Amino acid sequence: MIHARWAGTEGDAGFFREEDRLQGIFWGLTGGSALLLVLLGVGLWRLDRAARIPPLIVGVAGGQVFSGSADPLSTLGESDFDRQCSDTLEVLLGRTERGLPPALRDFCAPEVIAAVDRDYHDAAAHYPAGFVQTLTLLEAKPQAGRPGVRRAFYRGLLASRSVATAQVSAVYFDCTFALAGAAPLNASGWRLVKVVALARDDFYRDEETKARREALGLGS
Amino acid sequence: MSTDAESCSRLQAAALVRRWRLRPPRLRAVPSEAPSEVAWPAAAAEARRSFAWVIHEQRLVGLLLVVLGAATGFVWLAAGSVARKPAVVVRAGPSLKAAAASFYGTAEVSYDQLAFFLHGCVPLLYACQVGRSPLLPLAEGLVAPEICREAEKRMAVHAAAMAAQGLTQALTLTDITNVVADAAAGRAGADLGGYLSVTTGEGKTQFFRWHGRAVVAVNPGSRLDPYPFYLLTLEAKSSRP
Repeated sequence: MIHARWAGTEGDAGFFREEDRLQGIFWGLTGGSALLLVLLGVGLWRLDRAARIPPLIVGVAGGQVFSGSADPLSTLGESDFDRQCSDTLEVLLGRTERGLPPALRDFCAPEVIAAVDRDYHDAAAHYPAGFVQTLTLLEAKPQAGRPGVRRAFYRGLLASRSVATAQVSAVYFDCTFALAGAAPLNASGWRLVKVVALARDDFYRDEETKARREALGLGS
Repeated sequence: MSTDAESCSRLQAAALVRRWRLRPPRLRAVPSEAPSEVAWPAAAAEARRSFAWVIHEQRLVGLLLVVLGAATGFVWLAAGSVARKPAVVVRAGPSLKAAAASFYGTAEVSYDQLAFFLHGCVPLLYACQVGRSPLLPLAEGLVAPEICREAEKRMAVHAAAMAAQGLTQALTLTDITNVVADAAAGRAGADLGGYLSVTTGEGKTQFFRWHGRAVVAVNPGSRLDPYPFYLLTLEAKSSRP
């Protein structure tokens, strides 16, 4: 037995070797990095999914409150603006002795308003007791257009009343709408840029042609 | 005891001998041309430099992992908070039709409508024929129930006498003046003037000057009252002309 003082000490070689410790740290860092990357990826995925969920939108329009699921802007179609276009024509040709409502300027090109106003320039002098004209559209036939331009035929009843007379006429119009900049009252930007009176035959020309071809057995 | 001390001395002596045997060789005199510093071999120096930087690299990577962990935690917290979105209110402006209706709409109560209503309504309350009031039921729904009850009471008081004398009574409005309207409150008032004609069975007719003050409320058309007004109060007095 050798006294511990005189015995040769055998040092632990690994104690002096940093390689094992650094290797352990390396694997720890690798594992931690992988774990954090996975967590970051999952977190970003959750963040993306949460960001895509639209908020609950509560709208107030005309004193009515409405709500519903929000759809992407790409779901807007041409038919969503049919009502605005027909309303524009109805308001343009419906008037009293007070003239046209100023809000119409957001929905019509200035030259269209000027052209219609020209026809009613002397109306106040002719009808001092006042007059009422209303246009009720009964049918709309969309025509081929191009991006940013819509064209449609309209059929309606134009009713005019004054103290002396009253009459109702069937009217046909060829209207062209163009996409212009948005206005305070016209967020969509569709404006009436051209109104042309149509004859009844022009309005029903497609139907007549189709009927004629069918009668002749030429097919549609 | 002496044996232990002896063995200890021997061990000590053996250790001294072993240390002496393993003593480092005596350094020879260093030639003057020997380099004072020996450079590491290139490969060894490169390996040593890389090895020395590993510690710093690992510390740096550890620090970056802390930042990455913080960013990950922030992303998770943000995902949780973004998912809870408050409701959004959108207030649309008036539509073109609404703007046009507002433009063409009359802000004041129409005098024509008011006069037409009063001409049709108030005489019903005074029409009497031989003690009966055949037109009074027509006024129900157009006027306040108190006015109708008062008219019935007024007729009932003199019904027997009027029937005995064959009296016929009718009111004719000739003036509707001082019309005051409050379109916001849906109220209008006017001073009324006219003549109450009483005809006896013998054919004699007497006229009495009649004055009244009516207050009407704007009425939504319905089966009960298809007219644009509803008579709220009526104060009346008659006198000989």
